Amino acid sequence: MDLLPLILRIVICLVFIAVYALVAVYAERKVSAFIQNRLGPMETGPLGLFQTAADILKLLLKEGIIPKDADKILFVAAPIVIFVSVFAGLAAIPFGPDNTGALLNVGLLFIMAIVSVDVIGLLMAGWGSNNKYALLGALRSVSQILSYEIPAGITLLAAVMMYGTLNLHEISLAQGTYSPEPVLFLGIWDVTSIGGVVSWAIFRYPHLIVAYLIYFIASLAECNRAPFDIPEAESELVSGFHLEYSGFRFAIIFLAEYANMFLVGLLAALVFLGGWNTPLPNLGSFALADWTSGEPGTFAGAAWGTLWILLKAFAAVLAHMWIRWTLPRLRVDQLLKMSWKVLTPLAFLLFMISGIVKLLEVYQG
Amino acid sequence: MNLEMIVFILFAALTLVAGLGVAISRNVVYSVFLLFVILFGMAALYVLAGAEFLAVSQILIYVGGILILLLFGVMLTHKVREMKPRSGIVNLLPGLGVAGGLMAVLFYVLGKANFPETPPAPTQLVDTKALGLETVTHFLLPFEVISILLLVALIGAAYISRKSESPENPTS
Repeated sequence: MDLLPLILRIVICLVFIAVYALVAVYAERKVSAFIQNRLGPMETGPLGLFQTAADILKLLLKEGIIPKDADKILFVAAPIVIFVSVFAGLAAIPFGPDNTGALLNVGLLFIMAIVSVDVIGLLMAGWGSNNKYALLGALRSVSQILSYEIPAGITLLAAVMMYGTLNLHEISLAQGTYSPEPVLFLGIWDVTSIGGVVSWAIFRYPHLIVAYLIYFIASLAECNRAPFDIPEAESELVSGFHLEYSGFRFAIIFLAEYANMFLVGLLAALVFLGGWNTPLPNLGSFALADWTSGEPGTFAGAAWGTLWILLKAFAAVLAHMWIRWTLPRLRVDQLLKMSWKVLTPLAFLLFMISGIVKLLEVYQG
Repeated sequence: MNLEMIVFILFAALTLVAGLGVAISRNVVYSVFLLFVILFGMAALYVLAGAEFLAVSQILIYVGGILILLLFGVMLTHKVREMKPRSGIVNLLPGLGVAGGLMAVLFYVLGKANFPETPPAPTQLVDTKALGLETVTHFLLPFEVISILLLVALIGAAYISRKSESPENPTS
């Protein structure tokens, strides 16, 4: 077994996630400032670029306080469980035609399972803090994540049905010019050599656009982002399950939250938005798709693949921020209504449409 | 001793220690969290045996569903501030008897079982597609029976937890 590339990949991912979180926090503050007609951080460095680095430095130097009546074991273990589970999800993400990550046959299910491990960490933190606000925050957060996992899971299944595989590498292969099978747009037009957006799942099967929207809304709830930030509700719960955390442990939880946003963005990009494939199609002599995606096995292939999937994931993260600073928080009854009366029935409807489309395909071909 | 063997021993030991912890720990919340460690260790053992799908479903169903339900039960039924949820020691002798008997039976069966000297290496991982096809062809009847059973349980739970609106029984 070749351990060195494996360790290298882990280290790269870890450093990348840390840097990404720094940039994302800065971006979040700038985006919120832009939306609220403010300037945001401006003092540290040019345009306040070093603000988050300074903040993190301050956070790491602070004393890590463990409350006297807290359950010490659970309190200390919780941030580790939360971060490790989100980070483990990255193991199964393919970043390009060669950089496939762990080639799990059940990659998609693996990432969904990882989210439930994250939930255990939240409960550990809430219970271990021995604080009413923290426990309430954790309970709210967990019940919200669990109930929105249903529409998210069903919509992912509706998409998976079209591919016939749970392997994330095969799923992204099937949405571009390197697909081993013909890529049919709307089931009639062969676009294998054209590639680009027309071969992405949401355009090949238009009902998946709705599926993508449902998944996006559910992923907002799974990340506890506004408008689904009832678990953190500063005005009622102070700040939810991580209320008692400080210093390094708080930094880890914060990192995990941003990493989680990135992970759901990556998953949505892989399943719905063509994975690491280029969005530009081949138009006659303008072979945009071929120019912007390298051959598998070459450096260009890896570089373009990584670039595209990261751009797609970052776009999702930016959309998360945009929505957070635009919409007000839902009430708890609106939250329940949204999940059970809107998203879940719609998800089941799409699931059925997927089944019918698949049956038609089988009978035609 | 290769890497696979070391990993197996590590996870098997982890599972066993956590199992012991679940039984011994008197703090109910610790028991539930240790149950999580057991389920995780078991999932790792499934992966080593080449059963990826089983491993992931184990995490998805047991950790994501059942364990969280247990935690909710523990956290919501006990008054959080006033008392520590602890379990006492009851039925020590009958418990030991049952556990000992079960262990004797298991040892007897394992001793009689005919294990191949060198188990076939899991070169081919279990194909999820084949698994799905088997479920809806050869095992369709058990599959449907189980789904009806679960539906019945669901309706029953909804009925029991529903507030009665009939005038004959206004108290409940």
